[in-house]
Amino acid sequence: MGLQLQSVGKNKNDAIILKSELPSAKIWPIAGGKGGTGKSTLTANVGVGLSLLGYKVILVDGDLGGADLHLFFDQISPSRNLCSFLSKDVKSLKDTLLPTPNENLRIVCGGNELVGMANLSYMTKAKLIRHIRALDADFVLIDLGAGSAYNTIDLFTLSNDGIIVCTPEPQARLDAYCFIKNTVYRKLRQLFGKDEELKDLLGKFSRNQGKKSGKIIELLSSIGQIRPQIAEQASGMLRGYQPKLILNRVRTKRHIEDVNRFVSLVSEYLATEISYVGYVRNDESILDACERRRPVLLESPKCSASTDLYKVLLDGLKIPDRLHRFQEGQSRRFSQITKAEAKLW
Amino acid sequence: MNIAWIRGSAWERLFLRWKKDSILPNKETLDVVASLRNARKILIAPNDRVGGLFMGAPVYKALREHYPDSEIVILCDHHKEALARQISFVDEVITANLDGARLWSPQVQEMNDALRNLNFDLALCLGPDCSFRLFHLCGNSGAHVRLGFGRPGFDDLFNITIVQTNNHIFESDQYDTILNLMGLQKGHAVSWSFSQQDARQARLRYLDGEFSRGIIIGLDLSRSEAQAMTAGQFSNIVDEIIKRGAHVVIFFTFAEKKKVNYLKKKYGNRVLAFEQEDLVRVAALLEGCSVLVSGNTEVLHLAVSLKMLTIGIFYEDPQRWIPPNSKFVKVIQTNNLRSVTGSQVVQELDLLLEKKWPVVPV
Repeated sequence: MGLQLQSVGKNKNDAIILKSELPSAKIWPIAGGKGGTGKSTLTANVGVGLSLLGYKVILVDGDLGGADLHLFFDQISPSRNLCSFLSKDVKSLKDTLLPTPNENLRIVCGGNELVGMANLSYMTKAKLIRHIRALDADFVLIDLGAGSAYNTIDLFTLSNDGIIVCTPEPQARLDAYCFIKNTVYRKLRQLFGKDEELKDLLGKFSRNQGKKSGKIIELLSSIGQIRPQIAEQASGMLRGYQPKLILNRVRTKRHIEDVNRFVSLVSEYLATEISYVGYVRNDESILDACERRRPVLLESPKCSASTDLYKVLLDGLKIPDRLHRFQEGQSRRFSQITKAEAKLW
Repeated sequence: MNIAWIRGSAWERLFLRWKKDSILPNKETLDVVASLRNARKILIAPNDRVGGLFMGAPVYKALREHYPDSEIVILCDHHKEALARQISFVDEVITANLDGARLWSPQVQEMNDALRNLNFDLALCLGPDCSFRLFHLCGNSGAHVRLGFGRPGFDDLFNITIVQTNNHIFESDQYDTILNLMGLQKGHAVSWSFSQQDARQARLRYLDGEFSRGIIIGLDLSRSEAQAMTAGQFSNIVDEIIKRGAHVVIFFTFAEKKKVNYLKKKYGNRVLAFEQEDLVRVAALLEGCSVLVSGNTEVLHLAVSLKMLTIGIFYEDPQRWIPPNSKFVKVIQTNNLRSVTGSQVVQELDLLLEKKWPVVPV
């Protein structure tokens, strides 16, 4: 029981006009650098999980040229997809939204029909980003492709809290590190705008990384000597940039322990605080669910991967359950609800 | 009505009797006219039962008109804060979580002290049957003039007490007694509306897909203090509505989470569920509903204030809660809420919607 005193604007009108501005959509791009880390699988399952928690969710297949997210929702040949929007068949990205059996979940399927889809022009990319930002939902999840192409990086940096999906192998960790590094450079480059001197400095720094320590903090101090104000802006920007990390296909405890080293490495070298939100164990059920073209949460709600996803959502990402159906630490209840939901799919 | 709600638990009554001298305000001679004339800081505690915040609006307005330069403060439950903050006639809102804490708990004492430190000149406790805790907080607010409805055994809390002779009249009309006593004019009705732009945004986000087409019926699961309808009854109502091709938006509180689970499990994507924690958000969604079906709760009064078609299911005398001759409200009154059936509700819906149900594909 606490007491709060809050001031209200004095108004002597006769009518009371209620106002309630909805919070803007949380955009979570999901990427990982390396291919095959389970980005699409996690996007589909996190989307289903969020919708079961009572949130309006839109999934966007942003894997340009390698779209497959629709297959998790048994949409073999979707009537409308991202190509319809990019080729101007439909005016707005909203028009490509397709329903799923869950009333809270909709999907923008990707398209592979257009040749050169992966190489969007600057204008097309800007238009796509504008339309993604205009999508209205509680959460917008964007499934991104592998690699560090500018299109992927720009879609990832749409939001400050995207999700990095990484597997425990060193190759995947290296790719994830490089991906984060590229996003940091991209963000800095965008901040520098047309300042050629700073761009040169950034270019030299990135080229010399192998020879020197390559810590972003050193770059920021060099910038600080030339443009102190921009250096301050850049460190503020990097403080706000906090991608989340999900470790996928975990097989041993050691894999989980290694994550902390990765997180501190990114913090030390890239001045970026990534938050580790949980892991998903390696589980054959995921492959079975993929074969059946369904999210594993619905196909095998009791398997270890589903339990881990439940923990990622409720404990790691700290998403409150709007319908009060699930309690913390009671994944059994979660599996019961998802089982009932699966009957509608 | 639960006696503990009105008069406090047996332990609380015992506690008050024991601590009477240290807790209850000192009796002192009062120049009522001068005190009322010079009131600079006014505390209003709306009834924390059904829709008290809405029903009290004419009182806030009348007070604002009479005391244009005074500071008017509302004391309300924390989950009504967002709504209370939008009432244009008040200057400040004090929120408290009134659930659970006992009178002797440090939290209540802290709250009492905080209210006393604010040095109110006038405190009004609206609602003859608000919770005992609110009644006690208001009576112990330390205001110079404390005015409220009398309650057997607790005459010492207020220095001006209104004795009810007939409680079968509309709640808002009962508040007029307070205004009359203060020499103020009867409070005029206050119109409530919702920002169209915000309502549109909420509709677009939450009432999309199938819900953007056809008729949507709002169903409020929250219960009154007395009796609750069962999940089976609600299911029966939802069943009848869905059979007629309409969709259902369910409003619930934390206490009804099991019923929501049951309905969600049974009807899946044909029902949408929303917690009514944020009443302003609920108002936005109500704007998208054709009719609201509700028991004795806040949402019903929100809908009535917004002048939307409403079916009220009442265990108590509905005259207390529904404006006389209201065109917007149909009442189902029963001595036993458990006897209400889906077909009964749909019958009333037919009358309100004039049988404009969508055609259900065979």
